[in-house]
Amino acid sequence: MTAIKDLWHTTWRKTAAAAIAAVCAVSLAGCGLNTSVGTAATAAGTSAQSTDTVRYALWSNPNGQFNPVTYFTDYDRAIIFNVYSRLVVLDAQQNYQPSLAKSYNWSADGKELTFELRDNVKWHDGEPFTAQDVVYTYAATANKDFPLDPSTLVQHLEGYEDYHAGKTQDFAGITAPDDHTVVFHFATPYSGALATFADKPVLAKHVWEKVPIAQWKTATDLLKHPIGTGPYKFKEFVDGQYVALEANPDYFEGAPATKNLIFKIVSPDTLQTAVINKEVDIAEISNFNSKELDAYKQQGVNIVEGEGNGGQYLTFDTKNPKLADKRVRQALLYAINRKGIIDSLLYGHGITFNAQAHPSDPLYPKDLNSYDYSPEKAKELLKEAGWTDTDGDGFLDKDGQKFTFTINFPTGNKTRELSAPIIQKNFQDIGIDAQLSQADFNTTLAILQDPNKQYDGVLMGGTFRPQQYGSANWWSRWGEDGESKAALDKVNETTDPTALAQAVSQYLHLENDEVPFAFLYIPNQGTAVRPEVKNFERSTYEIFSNVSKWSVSPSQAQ
Amino acid sequence: MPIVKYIARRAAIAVVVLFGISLIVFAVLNLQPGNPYASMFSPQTDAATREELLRKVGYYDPLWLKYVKWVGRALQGDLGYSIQLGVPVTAVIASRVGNTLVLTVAAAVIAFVFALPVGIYSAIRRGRVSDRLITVVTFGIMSIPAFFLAMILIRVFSAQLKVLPSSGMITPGFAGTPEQVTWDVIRHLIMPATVLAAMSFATYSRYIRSSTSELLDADFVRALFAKGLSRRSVIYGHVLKNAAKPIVTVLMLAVPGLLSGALITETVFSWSGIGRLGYDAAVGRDYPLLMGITLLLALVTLLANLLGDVINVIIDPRIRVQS
Amino acid sequence: MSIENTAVPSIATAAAMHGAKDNVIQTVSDATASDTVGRTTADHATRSSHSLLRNPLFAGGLAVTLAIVAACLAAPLLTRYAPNDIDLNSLEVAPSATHWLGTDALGRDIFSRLLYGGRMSILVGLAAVALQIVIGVTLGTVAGYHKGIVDAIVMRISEIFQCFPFYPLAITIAAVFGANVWNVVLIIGVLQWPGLARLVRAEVLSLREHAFVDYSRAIGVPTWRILWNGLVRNCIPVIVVNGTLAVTTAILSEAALSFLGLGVSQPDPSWGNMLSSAQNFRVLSYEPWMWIPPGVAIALLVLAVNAMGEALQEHVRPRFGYIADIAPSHRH
Repeated sequence: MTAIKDLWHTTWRKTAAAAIAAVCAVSLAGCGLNTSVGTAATAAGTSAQSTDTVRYALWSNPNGQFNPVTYFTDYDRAIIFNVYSRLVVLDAQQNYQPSLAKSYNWSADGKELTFELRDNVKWHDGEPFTAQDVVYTYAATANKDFPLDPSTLVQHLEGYEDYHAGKTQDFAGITAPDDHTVVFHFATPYSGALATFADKPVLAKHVWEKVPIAQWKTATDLLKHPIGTGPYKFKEFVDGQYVALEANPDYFEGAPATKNLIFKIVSPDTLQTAVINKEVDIAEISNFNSKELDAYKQQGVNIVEGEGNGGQYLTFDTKNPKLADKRVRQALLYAINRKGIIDSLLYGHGITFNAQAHPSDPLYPKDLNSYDYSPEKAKELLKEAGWTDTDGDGFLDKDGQKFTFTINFPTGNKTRELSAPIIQKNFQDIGIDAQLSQADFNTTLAILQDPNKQYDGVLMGGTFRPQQYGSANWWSRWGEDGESKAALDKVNETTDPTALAQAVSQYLHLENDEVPFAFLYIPNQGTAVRPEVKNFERSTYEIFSNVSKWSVSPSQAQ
Repeated sequence: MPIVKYIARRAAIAVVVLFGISLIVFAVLNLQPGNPYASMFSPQTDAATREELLRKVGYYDPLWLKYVKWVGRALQGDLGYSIQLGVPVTAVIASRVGNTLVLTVAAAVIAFVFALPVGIYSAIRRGRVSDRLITVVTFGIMSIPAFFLAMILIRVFSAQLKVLPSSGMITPGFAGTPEQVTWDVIRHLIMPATVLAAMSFATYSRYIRSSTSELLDADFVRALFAKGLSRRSVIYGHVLKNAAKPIVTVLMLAVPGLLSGALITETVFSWSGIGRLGYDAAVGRDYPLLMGITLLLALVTLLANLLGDVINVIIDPRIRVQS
Repeated sequence: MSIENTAVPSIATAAAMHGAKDNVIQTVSDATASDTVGRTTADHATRSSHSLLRNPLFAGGLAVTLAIVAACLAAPLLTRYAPNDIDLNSLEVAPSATHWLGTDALGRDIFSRLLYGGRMSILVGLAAVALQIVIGVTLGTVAGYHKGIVDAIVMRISEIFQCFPFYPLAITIAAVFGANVWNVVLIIGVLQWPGLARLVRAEVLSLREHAFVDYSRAIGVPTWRILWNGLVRNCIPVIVVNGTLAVTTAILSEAALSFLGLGVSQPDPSWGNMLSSAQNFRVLSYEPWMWIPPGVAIALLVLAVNAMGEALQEHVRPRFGYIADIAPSHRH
C-alpha cells in the first residue's frame, strides 16, 4: 500500500526510470534470458567495426539439425556447408571438382566410382579423417533404421536390398580398400551420383556411431554441436538469434581469412535496414525492387547478382481427366504471361525455362519450344481439345462441364504468392474459371503426396541439382511409367558423356512437349554485400565456395 | 482450515479445466486431414516408404490411442519431440520461456506504471474535461492494431532515425560486460515492450479508474468525507489502500492477455519467445510443440487466476463466505 | 471487449465489489423498489434515444461508423476499379488522380481494395459477434435458469475457453482448418462467447429469483417463454453494450489474423491482409500509401465503434459507468 502511495507521489520521470530499472533487474537476474554471450567473440563493444567477423544474414531460424544427411532447411544447410566438407564441389562452370577427395574416377562400365581421399585431414576435435567416415556416412542412409527415406544414390548400389532389410551387416555397395580410398559399387549405373556427393557432406564416424541411427533426428546434443572438417568450427547456436562459427586453422585448403563467421537470423522484411545499419555484412536480398536496390547503393552496399538455382512451377495433375490431354496443358502454359511475371514481380531479374533443367546446364537443349505468351494459341489448342464456350457464359465447356481450375499454392514465398493472382487472371482471360486456394506449406504438400487426391494445379518451387534430371525433387505425377520413364531411366543409367548428352536431350524434349508442369521462372539470386567485405564470390550452386577468403576491411567513413 | 479447502477446490477445478483444454486442442489438431509429417518427404519418396516412416512415428494410431499415449507421457513430463526441430518439446519451450517472461514483465511494468496514475487521476476527476480527454486518448491507443503500431515504430525508430534495432533480441556476436549486454538487450526490448504495453495500458487504466471511482462512491468514503477529512487524506489514506485488491486482480487477469499479445509482438519483432515459437509451430504444423505451448499458456493462466484468488482471499477474508 | 473476457468465475466473485454482479444487484434492487422487473427496461427506454444522440461521444462514433459503412457499401459507385483487377503496367504507383491512394504490388487500386476490404472487416465483425451472441445468450440463459449441474458444466466449459490466450488458439485453429473468411468468423465467435454467457447468466440468476418467474410458472407459461420474455429481454441492454464492444474486438482479431496470413486470403482484400503486404522495409519506408490507409481505417472504425459502445454503456448504467472495465482483456 505504501508502494502505491509512493508511486502516486512519484513524478513521471521517476516512474519511467523505475520501469526501466525493473526491466534491467529482470534481464540482469537472467530469468533464463536466452542470449548466452559469446566468450570468444573478441573485444568488448559492438562488433560492427571489428575486422575479424563476417556476419551473414539467414532469413529464418535453422532447426538445429546440423547433420549433413538428415537436415531439412536451407538455413541448416548454410551452417552444415561451412562446418562440414564434401567429397566433391561444383566449380563456376558446373563441373565437379574434388574437395575432401583428392580425385575421383568412374570405371568404364559406369559401375564403379572410386575416390582417393586427402590425407592429413583432421576433424575439428583432432581425430583423423579416414575412408571409414565416408563409408559410415553413406551406408547409414541405407540402414533400415535411418529416420528418412534412403537416397536414390544408395538404392542404386549393390547389395542395397539386403542391407536395407537388415540381412547383411556390411553394405556391399560401399567399400574402403585402404584408409584413403573409397569405392562405390553400382548395381545399375547412376549418372546423378556426383550430385549426391556435392550435396551431402561427410560426417564423423567416431562421433555419430555412439548414437543409434534411429535416433539421429533427435540426438539434440550432437545435432547442435556438429564436428566437421570444414573451414569453420561450430561455436554456438542461440536459438532464434544467431549461429556463431569460428575459423578452423587446420582447414585443408588453408585457414580462413576471417576469424568469426556469424549467421544472424534476420527476417527478409527487415533485411535492408539490418544491412544498412551494419547489423549484418552479407545478406541474400529478397527482391529486386529498384527503390530497394537504390537504397542499398546509396549506402555503398554492393549487390552481387547471379542466376538462381531454383525454379518455380505449376505442377499439373496429369492423371486428372481434364488435364490428361497434353494440348490442354500446353494451352495453359501458353496462357501464362511468364515474362509479365518476371518483369513485374522480379523486376526483370529472372529467366524462364522450358524443361526441368537449368538453362545454363551444359546439356540443356537450345531448341526447346519456348511457349511464349499467347492467349490466342492457348484458345486454339483448347478448341482443338474440344473446349469451347457453347453456352455463352464466358467460360469454356466440354460435354456440359465448365472448365474450372483451382490453383493451390502454399504461403511462405512472397513472389509465388503474388504470382498466383496473375496466373488466375491469365487463365480467366482464356475462358477458364480459375480459383485460388491458399494454405500452409504442409497442407499443400499433402495434396501432392496423396496419390488418390485429384487436383488441377499446385504452385511449388524446386531446386535444380546440376546434372540431375527428372523429377528427383520436383512434384509431378508424370514420368512414372511409359515413354517418359524409359527416357529418364536411360538418363540415369548413362555415364558416358556423349551418350548422356543425347539421352538428356531426348528426355528434356519429351518433357518440354508433354508439359507436366508449367515451368514459370527462375529468380536471380542477389546478395547485398557491405563495402567492408572483400573477396565475396559465389556461383550458381555454391554460396560458400569462397568462404575461407572472405574478409572485412576496417569500416569506411560514411 | 477453510482457506486451504478453498484453494484445494479451486485447484481441482483448474485440473479439470486443464484436462478439457488438452482435449480440445488435441481434437483440433488431429481431426483434420493434413499431415504434419508431409515436409519430411521428398518427391522421390515412394508411397511404401512413406507409409513405413509414418507408421514408425505413430501416425496411423487411432485418435483415442494417440491421446491416451500423449496424456500418459505428458503426466511424466514428456511432451514428445518437436517435428520440425527434432528436439524434446520441453527443451524447446524451456529455452524460449525466459525470453517471453522478460518481454511480458517489461510490458506489464511499463503499462502498469502509466496506467496507475492515469486511472486514479481520471477517477478523481471523473466527468471533468480532463477525464474525458484521457478517455478519448485511451480509446485511441486501444483502437490502434498492435501490428500497425509496431510498423509505425519500426518505420520511425529503425528506418528513419536508426536509433533502435528493428528486430531480434541481441546484436549477434555481441560481447561485453554484463552491463553492456543488458543495455543491448534493452535496446532490442524497447519497441516490442512498448507495443505490448500499449495493448494493455488502456485496459489497466480503465479498470483502475472504475474501481477507484467505485471506491469514491462507497459509503465508508462518503462517511470519511462527512467526518470532515480532507480530500487528500481520504484519497491517499483510504481509497488507495482499498484499491490494492482490484489491482491484484487486474495484474492476474492480465496474464492471458499479455501472453496472447506477445504472440503478435514477438512475431513482428522476431523476439524469440513462446509466442513466435507458437506461430512458427502453427504455420509449420508442429503438433507436439503446439500442444506443449498451448498447455503451458493455459497452465500459466490458470495459475495466475488461482494466485489472484488466493491473494484476494488473504486480503479480504469475506470472500471465503461467498464461495 | 467482451465483459470478463478472460476472467475466471471465482475472480469475478472475488471481485464482486467491483463486478457485474454488483451492477446486476443494483439493477435488481432498483427494480424491487419499483416493484416490477419490467420497469428497469422501461426506464432505459424512456431515457429516450435522442438523449443518447445528444451525447457527443455517441453521435460522433455513430457518424464516423455510418460514413465508413456507407462508403464501403457504395464501393462500386465510388471507384471504377475492381478490387482484384491486376495491372502489371502500374505496379506500386504513388497516389495520383487516376489512383487516389496508389496501387499495390500487383497494380491493384488501393482505394478500391480499401473499400472492398472494409466490407470484409465489417462483415467479419458483425457475423462473429452474431455468432457470439447466439452461443453466449443461449448458454448463459440456460445455465442461469437451470443452475445446478447444467450451470456447473456450462461454466466449466466457458472457463476452458476463457483460460486461453486468444491468439495462440486462434492461429492454431486457423492454421489447421485453413485461412478463409468463414473460419475467421467461426474462430472469433466460438472463442469469445464466454464473456457474454457469464454476464447473461449473472443477470438471469438474479432475475429468476423474482416473483414473476414463480407466478409465470404457476400459471403454466412454458419455460422457453419465461426465458425469452422475462429473462432474455431484460438482458438486452447488456447484450447491446457488450455486442457493440465485441464488434471492435472481432474487427481487430480479423485484422491480426489476416496480418499473420491466417485470415482472409488472397486475392480478396481485407484491411489486415493489406497491411501484411507492407511488412517489408521498402514499403514501410518509401511506400506509405500501401499501409497507412488500411491501418488508419481499422483504427478509425474501431475508435468510432468503441465510442458508441462507451456512450451506450453510460446510458444503460448511468450510476456505475463502465461495465467493460470489470475485467481487463486484450483486444489485439
